[in-house]
This record gives sequence, structure tokens and C-alpha cells, in this order.
Amino acid sequence: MIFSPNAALMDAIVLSVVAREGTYGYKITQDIRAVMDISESTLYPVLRRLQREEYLEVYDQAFAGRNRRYYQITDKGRMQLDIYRKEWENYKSRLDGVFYGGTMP
Amino acid sequence: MTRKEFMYRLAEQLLPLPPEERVSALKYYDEYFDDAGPENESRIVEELGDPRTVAESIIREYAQNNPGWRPGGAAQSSGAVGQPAAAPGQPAVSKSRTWIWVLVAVLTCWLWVPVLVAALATVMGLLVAAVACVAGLAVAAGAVAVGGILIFVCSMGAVAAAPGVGVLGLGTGLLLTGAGALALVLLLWLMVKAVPAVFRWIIGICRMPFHRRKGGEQA
Repeated sequence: MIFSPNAALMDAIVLSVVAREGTYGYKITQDIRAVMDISESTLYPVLRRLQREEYLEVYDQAFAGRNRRYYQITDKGRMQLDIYRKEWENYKSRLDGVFYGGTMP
Repeated sequence: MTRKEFMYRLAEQLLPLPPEERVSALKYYDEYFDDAGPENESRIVEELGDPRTVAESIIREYAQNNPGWRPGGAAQSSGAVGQPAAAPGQPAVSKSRTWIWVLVAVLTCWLWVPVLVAALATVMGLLVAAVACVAGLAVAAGAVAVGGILIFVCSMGAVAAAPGVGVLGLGTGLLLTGAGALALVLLLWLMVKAVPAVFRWIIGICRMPFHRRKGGEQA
């Protein structure tokens, strides 16, 4: 993989994944690794950061005789995800302009 | 590294964090391993890599989002990770640790220099003694061989006059020559093999303090 996500992009990616359904750390990592090459240790600091910003909240759910920590998106998180999506469209079209011709800044 | 070792080392490296943060991080990775299942354990340990690096990214995130906090506890990083602008302290960590050791060494030199000199002198003395022993044995073996030859030669003259004694002398002479020569060859072989091995062992010991830092504690 040539391009790797910066911190903001990682935040956006994780928020997107969690927005679909309440999910847990290992599954989030595997879902993301299905489309891009990230390290197994990348996710935890991102989850922590999103939690601190109150974009995510945690809850525990019993699974196979143990407790599993789940993450779900908050309303504040959904608003931030919207912002990230618009930013991404913006970024994508600007880069497309650079790569394929069109209006240069 | 096993999962247990990884988690143990990670816990160590996370000591600078406040307890709730540390517990939260360790819980996350414990659950991570559980969810991955035992069949994925070694792959994940390998991909997670050095617990130090994993811990650094966790500590860095905490420091960035909690300005004014400084690493506490048994901080291996000597505070270098606390500043968001600074690069992760890997080179800085080893450097500051080295200087501490140098300072300690200089301050306590009156203690360890005489001991070191005495130890070296003892080792030298032992080496010289060992060489002298071997040399002495070699000389003895040579003397036995030479003596054997002399007896052989002298007995040749006696064979005509007193055959019994003469033949006995010839036999004894040959025996002694053989024994002496064999002992001499064995000693020479020992010198050729043993001396390089001893040198290598000494050099290996001298290198040990410098290798210690490379991998941290090797399990």
C-alpha cells in the first residue's frame, strides 16, 4: 500500500465502521484490514481519541462467558462523520483535478 | 514471544500512564487476543511487534490529549514521550541511559578499578600457570622420548654381550620413545586447539556488556 491514512483519515474510517453497527476492537480492525493495510496496533489509540472527543461510547456485553467491550457512535460522532464525509468529497475532487486535469489551484 | 510475554512487557511499558488508562489498554489487547482466538495468537504477537512501540503510541495519544500531563511511574522514556512535538524517544532513550551508566561508572571508579585490576592479574597469572604446566609436561614427554632413544641405542651394544638384558633394554627403549612421542603430540594438539578457544572465550566475555542493550531483556 503506497498511501497510508493520517490521523484524521483514520478517525473518519473508524467512525464510519462503528457507525454501521456497535462493534468491538478486533472486528473493527479486521473490517478495516479487509480494505487497507494497517497494523494490528494502529486502532487502539484511535479508539481512545474518538472516545475522548465523545464521538464514540463504550459498553460491555457478555459473550461466550466473558465480557466484550463494544463501541458505538454518538450523536456528536455522527455529526463529525458528516463533516469528515464532506471533507473527503472535497479532498477527492481536488486530487482528481490534479491527477486527471481540470482546474488547478 | 508468547501472548503472555507480550502482555507482560506491554504492562511494563505502560507504567508511565495513570492506572485507569493502563488497565483500559491492557484490557483492550487481552480481549483482542481472546477474540482473535488461540490459532491467531502467534501471528498477532508478531504483527504487533515490539511492546515498546505499541506502548509509545498509546502514551503519545494520551499525552497529546492531556496537555500538562507528564509520564509518571517507572518511566523508561525519561519524559521524552510527554512532548507531542518530539519524535518518539527511541534514540534519546538509549542515549540518556548510556550517560547515566557512564556517570555511575566514573563516580564509583575507586571501587571497581582495583577489583578489576586484581581480577585481570589473577586471570593473567592463571593463564601463565596453565601455559607453564603444559610446557613442563611437553618437556617431560620429550625427555622420556629422548631417554627411550638413548636406552635403545645403549642396549644395541649390550645385545651381543648379554642378549636377555639387551633385548629387554631395546624393548624398554622403544616403549619409552613411543610413550614420550605420543604424549608430546597430544600436548601439541591440545595447545593448538585450546589456545584459540580460550582467546575466543575471553573476547566473548568482553563483548557481553555491549550486547546487553541491543534487545532489552532477552527472555
